[in-house]
Amino acid sequence: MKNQRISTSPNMTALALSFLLLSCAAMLVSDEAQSREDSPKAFSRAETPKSIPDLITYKAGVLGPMHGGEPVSEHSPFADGACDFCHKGDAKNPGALLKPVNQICFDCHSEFEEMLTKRPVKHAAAAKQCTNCHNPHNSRNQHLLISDQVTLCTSCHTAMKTLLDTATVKHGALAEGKCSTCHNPHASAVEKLLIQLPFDLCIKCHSRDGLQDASGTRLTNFKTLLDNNPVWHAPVAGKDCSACHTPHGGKNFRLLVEPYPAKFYSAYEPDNYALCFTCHNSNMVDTPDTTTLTGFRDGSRNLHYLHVNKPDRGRTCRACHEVHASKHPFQIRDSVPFGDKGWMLKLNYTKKANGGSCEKTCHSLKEYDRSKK
Amino acid sequence: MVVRALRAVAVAGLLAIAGNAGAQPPPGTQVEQVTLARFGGGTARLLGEGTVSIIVFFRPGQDHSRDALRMMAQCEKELAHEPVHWTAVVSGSASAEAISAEVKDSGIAMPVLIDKGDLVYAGLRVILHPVVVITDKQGRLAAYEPYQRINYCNVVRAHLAHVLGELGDAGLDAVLHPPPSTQGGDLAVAQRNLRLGQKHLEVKRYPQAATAAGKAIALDGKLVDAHVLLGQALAGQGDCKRARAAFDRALALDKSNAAALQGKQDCAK
Ligand code: HEC
Ligand code: HEC
Ligand code: HEC
Ligand code: HEC
Ligand code: HEC
Ligand code: HEC
Ligand code: HEC
Ligand code: HEC
Repeated sequence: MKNQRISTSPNMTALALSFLLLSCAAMLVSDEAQSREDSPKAFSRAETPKSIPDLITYKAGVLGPMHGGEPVSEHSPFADGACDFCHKGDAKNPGALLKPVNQICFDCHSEFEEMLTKRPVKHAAAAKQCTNCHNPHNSRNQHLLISDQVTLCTSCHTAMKTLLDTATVKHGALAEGKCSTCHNPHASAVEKLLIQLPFDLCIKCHSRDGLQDASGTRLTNFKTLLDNNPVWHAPVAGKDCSACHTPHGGKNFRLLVEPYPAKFYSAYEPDNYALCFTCHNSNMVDTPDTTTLTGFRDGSRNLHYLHVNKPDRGRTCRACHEVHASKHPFQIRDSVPFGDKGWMLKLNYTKKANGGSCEKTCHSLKEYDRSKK
Repeated sequence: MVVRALRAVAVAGLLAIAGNAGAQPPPGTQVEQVTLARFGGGTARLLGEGTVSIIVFFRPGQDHSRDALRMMAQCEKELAHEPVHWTAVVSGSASAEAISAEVKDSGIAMPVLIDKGDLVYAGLRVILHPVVVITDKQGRLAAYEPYQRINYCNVVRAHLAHVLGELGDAGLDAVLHPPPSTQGGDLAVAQRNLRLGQKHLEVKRYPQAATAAGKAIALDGKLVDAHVLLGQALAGQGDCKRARAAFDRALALDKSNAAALQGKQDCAK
């Protein structure tokens, strides 16, 4: 895993791709520069809510000390009766604040002032007023929060609330209702106030055995997967799991940002594979004959077209490729499922100078050779 | 052929047939200067003259390209004061309307170069979109970064600083693999309690000051100022014996601590 840590810098990519591959430059020669604006899209950045209501300055009542009930958290200066650290007047009759809220907080929480100055990504809500989220006295929630986190965050991030409410594929990461598992509500070094790059965050939860999705299917232990499979797909190596997955929930299978067939076989439609084609160019699958668009060809016969591009039972990419990481060049899979007994057939992929071959356990050797005329 | 990298591959022979190498040329590979047609008229150079170049490969109509162009437009603004030669490169097959729409949407200021015959693409082995390529002042390949949804501009900025020698390898690594941005923890909570106690001390609330100092010490025994505070709070309550012990603990950690020395002296009176 170590030598793969470098992001998608040339040496990494060279490593991952240190195998020959067609000069696919012409892949880009895209005649179909058509926009997919009309196709149903998951929640792309373009749809990130821009209209966040003005920062809430809580009305009377919300920020005062609790009346009755047991606080879950209590602020030491309040507990000490030191109203005068923040208010003019005395404890019996605390009046206006001594100075702007954040200046008061920074008196004792100077690291937050530093954080909001030095970290490149700052939360507007915190820079403006700590009391957008914290009650300075006591609270029914942990960390003096004025409400539970989801209610709190979505009170301003209303589009996120809609997303969470309407997502048909939900993400277990949110089950605990702690946005702060992944976001730093104050300031951070990573965009979107992420505590770390998506990869590092995902790995924290997705590195154990026994994690299951809603239907009981076991999920991959990513630490084991990545440790044992040195050929990482470039966006994985680039630590960008969110290039393909929408972490808050969505409408596509496996929280994918765009559609991708869920089954082994699928009718071919570029839109079914929109996920892959958000980066790759669909003409690698759309063009029957080519000497440039793909390295997976026999002479000029495009084998991607042959295998995938079928009106009914086209093979999906997963028939041959692992999408995260594998042991073989081009993320070719080790084996494929066969029948309904859970058998796996070895693919025995071998890369050759001008092509490659695979030899399924019970099926003859198949080869492709690009230099064939 | 315009990009020397491709020639190098052809020469290497090993990879001969149809330049079958998906791998990008290794870092340090010389990228050749070329002049290409500029979208909107005229021509422009791919690389700067003696400056670092940032080249943004994009495909009109593709979401990730659009997202990347928006991020790079912002990045371009933020780096406006840096000596950087920015260009965007688009395949010769892209339509003018489509290019125009993307330029307008993103607000990029950099010139868009049209790569007729996709020769630059072939040279750098760019097989998908978007990709940002960075070269050093001599036009040698320094970084090849495909799309990243998060931190794309930060990564570009860090590579730039690295190429310019303003950021070391460790600094670059810290951007590519940032450590967690967290807060709190025992040391921070100790500091807060120390501050709380100091404020109590200022208004002579000695018992509260002592309690806060005690909390701070429990969380961070090496916090000299907390031992001093405890000493002062105890001395304020007239407990010089325990105050001296607290000052001594502070002095054991920092033998020339002025406040502790002073506190001990005052207590001796
Ligand atoms: C750490 C600082 C801090 C301390 C200590 C503190 N307060 Fe406050 N208090 C605030 C802030 C901030 C507000 C919100 C005022 C605003 O935004 O206008 C507030 C508001 C209030 C309000 C008005 C709430 C409302 O609904 O308008 C009351 C009552 C109050 N505090 C009582 C107290 C009492 C009593 C104490 C001492 C036992 C105390 N506070 C200690 C910071 C503090
Ligand atoms: C006089 C010093 C002082 C001031 C002023 C102060 N705090 Fe604190 N704060 C503390 C101390 C001490 C603690 C830690 C108590 C402990 O856990 O031992 C604390 C803890 C907290 C916590 C963590 C509570 C938890 O349960 O995790 C929050 C949140 C907080 N403060 C917010 C604020 C805000 C917001 C302000 C400004 C309105 C503020 N503080 C002003 C001293 C202060
Ligand atoms: C008082 C209103 C308010 C609350 C409450 C609030 N936010 Fe924000 N948040 C904002 C504003 C304003 C922005 C800046 C939006 C912008 O720049 O477009 C923002 C930005 C963000 C961003 C960056 C979004 C982006 O596209 O880069 C994240 C992530 C975020 N908030 C998370 C949270 C989380 C997590 C919580 C709850 C702990 C929270 N917010 C609570 C107002 C709020
Ligand atoms: C706080 C823990 C946690 C974090 C962090 C986390 N996940 Fe998950 N994830 C889960 C749990 C629990 C499940 C299983 C329940 C479920 O299916 O949602 C899950 C399920 C999934 C699924 C399968 C969903 C389905 O039902 O098909 C995907 C895909 C996924 N996570 C991707 C990610 C990605 C990508 C990241 C990082 C951006 C990430 N997760 C971060 C806890 C987490
Ligand atoms: C290039 C796009 C892409 C990237 C990047 C990506 N994924 Fe996935 N992920 C997929 C696809 C496609 C599937 C569905 C795989 C299948 O069913 O064949 C999937 C499935 C999953 C699942 C559910 C299935 C399982 O076996 O657990 C999890 C969890 C997951 N990904 C986590 C991650 C994490 C963590 C990362 C970052 C290390 C990541 N993904 C990066 C495309 C991607
Ligand atoms: C976020 C962008 C992105 C998405 C989405 C994506 N890929 Fe990739 N993929 C890359 C990059 C980057 C490379 C490296 C090639 C390069 O940099 O020239 C790559 C390379 C590959 C390779 C070749 C690996 C090698 O070693 O040469 C395969 C196979 C592949 N991708 C399959 C897929 C499949 C299948 C999907 C859809 C499930 C997919 N990709 C979706 C970015 C992406
Ligand atoms: C029948 C097996 C098979 C299927 C199905 C398949 N591929 Fe491939 N793919 C390969 C092989 C084998 C290679 C290696 C070609 C070589 O030798 O250069 C490859 C190479 C690639 C590459 C590297 C560039 C290139 O074209 O040579 C990408 C990207 C890729 N595949 C994406 C996909 C995507 C996306 C899908 C689904 C739409 C898919 N593949 C389906 C077998 C397959
Ligand atoms: C957008 C909402 C939001 C705003 C605004 C905000 N916080 Fe927080 N804060 C949180 C959340 C959520 C947590 C809990 C984090 C966790 O779960 O680890 C937290 C935790 C804390 C803690 C306890 C963690 C620790 O360091 O021990 C302190 C102290 C704190 N905040 C201080 C502040 C200060 C000071 C400000 C103003 C500069 C501020 N907060 C503004 C949401 C916010």
